[in-house]
Amino acid sequence: MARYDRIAPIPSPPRETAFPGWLALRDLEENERDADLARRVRLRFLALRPLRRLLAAGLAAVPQASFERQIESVREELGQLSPRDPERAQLARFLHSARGRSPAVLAEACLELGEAVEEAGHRYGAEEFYSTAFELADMMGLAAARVAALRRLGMLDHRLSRLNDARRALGEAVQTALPAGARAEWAHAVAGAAALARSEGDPAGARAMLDDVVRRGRSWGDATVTALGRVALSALELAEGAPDRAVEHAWRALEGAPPPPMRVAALARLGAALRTLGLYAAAQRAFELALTETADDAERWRTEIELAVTAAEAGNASQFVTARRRLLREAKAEPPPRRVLARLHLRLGQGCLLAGMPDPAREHVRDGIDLARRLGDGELLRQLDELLGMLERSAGGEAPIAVPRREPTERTLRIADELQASRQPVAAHP
Amino acid sequence: MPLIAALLPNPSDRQCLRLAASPYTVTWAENWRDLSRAVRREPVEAVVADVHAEPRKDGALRVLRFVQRYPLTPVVVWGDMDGRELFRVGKAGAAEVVVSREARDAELVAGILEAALRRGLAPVLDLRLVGRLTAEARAVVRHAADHIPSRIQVPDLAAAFGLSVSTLERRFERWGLPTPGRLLLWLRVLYGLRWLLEPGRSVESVAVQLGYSSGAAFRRALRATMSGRPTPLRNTRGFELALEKFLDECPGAPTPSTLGSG
Repeated sequence: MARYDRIAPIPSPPRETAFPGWLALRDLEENERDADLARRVRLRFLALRPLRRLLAAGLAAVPQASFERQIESVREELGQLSPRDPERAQLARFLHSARGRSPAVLAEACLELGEAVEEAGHRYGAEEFYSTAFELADMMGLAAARVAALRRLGMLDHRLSRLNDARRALGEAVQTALPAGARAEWAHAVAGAAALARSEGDPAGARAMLDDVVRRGRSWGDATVTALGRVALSALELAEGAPDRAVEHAWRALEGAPPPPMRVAALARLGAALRTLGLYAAAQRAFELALTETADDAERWRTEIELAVTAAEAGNASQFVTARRRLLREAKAEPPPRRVLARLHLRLGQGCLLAGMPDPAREHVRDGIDLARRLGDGELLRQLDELLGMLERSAGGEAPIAVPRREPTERTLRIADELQASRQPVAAHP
Repeated sequence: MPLIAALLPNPSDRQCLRLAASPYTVTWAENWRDLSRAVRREPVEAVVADVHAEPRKDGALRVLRFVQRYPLTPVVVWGDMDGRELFRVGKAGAAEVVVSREARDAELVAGILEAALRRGLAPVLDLRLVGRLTAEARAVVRHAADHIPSRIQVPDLAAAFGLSVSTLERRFERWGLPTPGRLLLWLRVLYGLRWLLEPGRSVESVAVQLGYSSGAAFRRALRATMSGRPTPLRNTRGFELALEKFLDECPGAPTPSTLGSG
């Protein structure tokens, strides 16, 4: 081995010129010595190879026996990951789905694994899985899967600040989703396009797009589409400084019994909006309900984090300290996906500042910045920088600027009361 | 058929490649220097190299050096590679990889080789002729292009399709192609110009690889096809100019016909 690595400084090849599936390995860039990551990216690359082979030669041209041997040889290598590692089960499921060679199942499996890889903070791996799903759907004329892949690619591009690519992918997803009969995907794509519009300084345009989602969802009698539009509107209004409207949208997203993941998202949005208005008990109740209803591990982490921060914002330092200690212990025992871990450091750092614990806050900021850089998440990095600035000003004796809190409206107070009084899962009443 | 140069010290790997590459001719190299020399001297279309062929040497760096000298010759990297090595050989410019567990599956390795060879000139030409020539005319041009490195002549081309030379000439006229001899001349020129884009190849070596007696003979062929216009030899403009001029001489026929008729 050469003493100085001459490969590291050369630019990475674009996906089109590298060998098929190489992008899944690119998450190793600048982390080449990370042995655990090297094992993971290799297994992802190997798992993708049978699919890339089908894409290159055509489904009918690949002999079944050879295809199965290839899958089996990858399956045998999964033992390199611990039996408790969630990725091992995800890869095993992926390979199992691949065996049948059904294009629709293959595309779906790629999207599912891509999401897990993205949650783990490995953007290139996620991009490779989504792109493979897109190519497969495009080749086999699977319109709905094509839209689903485009939408995920667009949202990933947005997160990575590749705004032109994001605009193109999301625009095409919005245009092609309804003719493909993919209403929920259409709503997701519009929500993605609205988030992009807002980030580019057009909140009115974003609002109009999301209003259209709600309107159409109601006219179709589709609770998922309607709830999706309302949850996105709630996030938009909260970001635009209108927490009462955010509460209203999140509350109404619970109408019509949307499916559990949408209910959990609505409850989490409701909790965040109520907290902004200083209605901490109601916010806590919303997060607790979300926690009881979620089956998703990453979502459970996010909600637990928000519950802890709610305690800090409510001025309940001891409750925050206990919750923080428990979260850190759990994160050490079984680390959550990296994107969640980065969020944990940001939010606990903010909580520590509020609870008067500047030293632990600084540690969280340091760990969070390190992770955000590795994830390439510009927005998270910006928020961590902001927190660091606040910590520095606080250390210099400067009191934080007190943002005047808006008084909640009567309607918001009624929603908060109803939420707190509920012992059963809540359903919104208009 | 395409010639593959391979650097595989392990005899069982050689056997695996032989089985997978049965339609191709394989020439064996002993080390990376030898591999480079083979590409310089012979009409090699792709190379296969064990990333661990030279102990205590950085295989990915060897791939990078090779790709810098021969950027248009696809490198298929072979071996038991961990994640980091796979990442690095990809960054270095490998066109494909065969990981150890896959090596025993001849069908799989054959597919990988085929994919690597698809980066060569013949598929590029074929793509440019879509919509211009009928499928059967393209099949003949593709066959000719595939066999230029093995120095195909007009009678070989006619025989490959079960035709006499005169019938082949009539078909070419009907298909809107130049004469078979002119087609082969063009293909040699295009191959030569493309090979010359690689810094590791010289005019003399390329001329010999194409069956010319010297570099001067190759230059004469170039002048004969490019109507005496001076052609830049070592840049993509020269290659693109030649390709455009070749396509001008392949207007195609207005209606399709079949190989079996007249």
